[in-house]
Amino acid sequence: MDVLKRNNVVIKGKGTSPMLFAHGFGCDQNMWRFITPAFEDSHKIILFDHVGAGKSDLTAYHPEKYKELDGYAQDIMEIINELNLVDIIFVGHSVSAMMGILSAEQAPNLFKTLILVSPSSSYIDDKDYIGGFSRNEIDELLESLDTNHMGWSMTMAPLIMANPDKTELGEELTNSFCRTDPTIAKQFARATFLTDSRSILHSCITPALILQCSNDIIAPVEVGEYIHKQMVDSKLVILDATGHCPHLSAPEETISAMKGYV
Amino acid sequence: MYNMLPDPENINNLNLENDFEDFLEHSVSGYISTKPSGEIIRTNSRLVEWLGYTKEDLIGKRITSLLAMGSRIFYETHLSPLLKLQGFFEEVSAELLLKNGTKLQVLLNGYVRNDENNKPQFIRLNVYRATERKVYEQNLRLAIIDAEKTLIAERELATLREQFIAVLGHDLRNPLGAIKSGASLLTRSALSDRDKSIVGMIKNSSLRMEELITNVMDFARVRLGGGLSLDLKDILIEPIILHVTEELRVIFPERTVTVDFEVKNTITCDAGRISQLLSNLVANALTHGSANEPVNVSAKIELNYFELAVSNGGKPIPEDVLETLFEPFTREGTTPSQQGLGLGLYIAAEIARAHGGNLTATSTADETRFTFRMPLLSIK
Repeated sequence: MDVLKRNNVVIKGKGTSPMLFAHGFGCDQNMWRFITPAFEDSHKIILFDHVGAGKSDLTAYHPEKYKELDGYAQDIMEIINELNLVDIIFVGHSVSAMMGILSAEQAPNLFKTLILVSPSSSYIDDKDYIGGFSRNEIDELLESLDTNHMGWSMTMAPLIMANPDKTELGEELTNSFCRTDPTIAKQFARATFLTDSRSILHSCITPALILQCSNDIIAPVEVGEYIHKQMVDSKLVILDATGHCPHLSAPEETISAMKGYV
Repeated sequence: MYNMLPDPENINNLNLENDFEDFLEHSVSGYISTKPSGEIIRTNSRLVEWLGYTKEDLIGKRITSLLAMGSRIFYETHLSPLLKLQGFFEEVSAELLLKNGTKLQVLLNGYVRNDENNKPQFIRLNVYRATERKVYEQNLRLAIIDAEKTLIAERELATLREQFIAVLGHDLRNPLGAIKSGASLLTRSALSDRDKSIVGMIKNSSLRMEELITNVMDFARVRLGGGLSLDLKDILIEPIILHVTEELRVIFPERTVTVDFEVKNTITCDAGRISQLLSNLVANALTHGSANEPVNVSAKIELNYFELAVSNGGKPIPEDVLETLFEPFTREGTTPSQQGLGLGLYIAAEIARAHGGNLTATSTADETRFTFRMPLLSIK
């Protein structure tokens, strides 16, 4: 198995200090495009698509493996080993932030810092814990993914197969951003929104920067505060940016928060 | 500054026709404009009517607050990134959350309007009602689930049937083998003519039985299984034809079978299946043809075709029977006992088909002729 092909790993940048960017649920590595240029001079940028997203190898998708976040964390470790990365700055958005923590706990010596963008340790409210959603609301999401026809994503596979060497410009014209195989997207949604990662936070010793948006319905500020409290060596920054994707909606603010930490 | 609607009092009704504002305002679809951050700055009457809010209620609200929970998360995780990355999305199924708590199925199209410096000014969304379409899609989905269930059940049933027939065929053959060898042993020790004739009948009946079992199993393979499989080899056709005709001469000693062929080349085919085809055709001719006339077997290679024909004299086959001759369980209604299951010609035709050829029949007062033609294959 060619790990780099499986996860469509893209490497760029002039520096040697590795920054590994992991996209979240709903998109692909394209979502880092406004952030990475700011680090290309000083770092080695490693981008990839989770299996099932973007230009990853869809045939590598095994429901059993990717039922839980561990399967995805395993892929991240395989990329790291394949590229012999050390002193890694891991940047993970949304659900990938938790995958970063899982990986860092497996090999703490390989990670320098974790940058967690709009992370959530668990999306469902539980007694005092505010996750932002009730179980019913998450079920409603999963059901709506079941029934969303998403005509554009159904045609993803042949498009990707037919155009392996597309330029970025071409992609922009043909609506191929953030394509996800609908069946895989459903299972990824399950793994994302039904996983409770609260128990893994306190044992993570890698220094972490938590970036939380001020008005994010997916991962509210309370969740950021909770993660900050649980992680021994962490810093919480509440961004002015709204929504769930500050790296897209407010790249400058996100970059400056990251540079202030790295 | 966004309220650019002309004062209704001052509009000449005749000008409404050319008023694009009026068209948007009273369109059959809903329009929403939001700031790049997602706060609503304007909607049209149609959307307001659907939602049950007033326009004033909506101004300043976030677009996601109009969506049901599933669509809300989808908007944040999928649509919002798409607007940032490519500036638009199209044909996305979503649910509006109405003031009365119910949901409305819609299709969303959205794009980002930039100013001359390429800075996002606002997001515009078109909202199309999609209730009928949603019901249709739901029915399609249910139909798919239903069809998949039926398919799985049918597959299981088919496997069971195949197993049943294979086991049955196997289990029938074993005792039959014992009967056949028993009869062979008895032939040697049979003393009286009566005994000899009984043993002969046992032998003939078991051969007949064996043929029936083979036919039933072949039928099962074609109809219930994956079709006849061929074991293709380059073979000399001449000895095969001679062997088959010789066998039948033994069974029908009082009849004449003539053979006429000019095939010296090898042919790529399944020898066992070609023998079976020929045997079925000759047996059929011997059974149904005139007892006083010979059965003629001829074979030739013509252009790129191999042709094998069996003809006999006698009463012609009626037109309507000729049409269904190669269908399974076709038999001459009046004389059932002689013909077994009526699978012989069906299987012969299937063997022809498996070889990429065909089997045809013509019948006149002069002769009835079955012709098998197959293209000359080469082993791939």
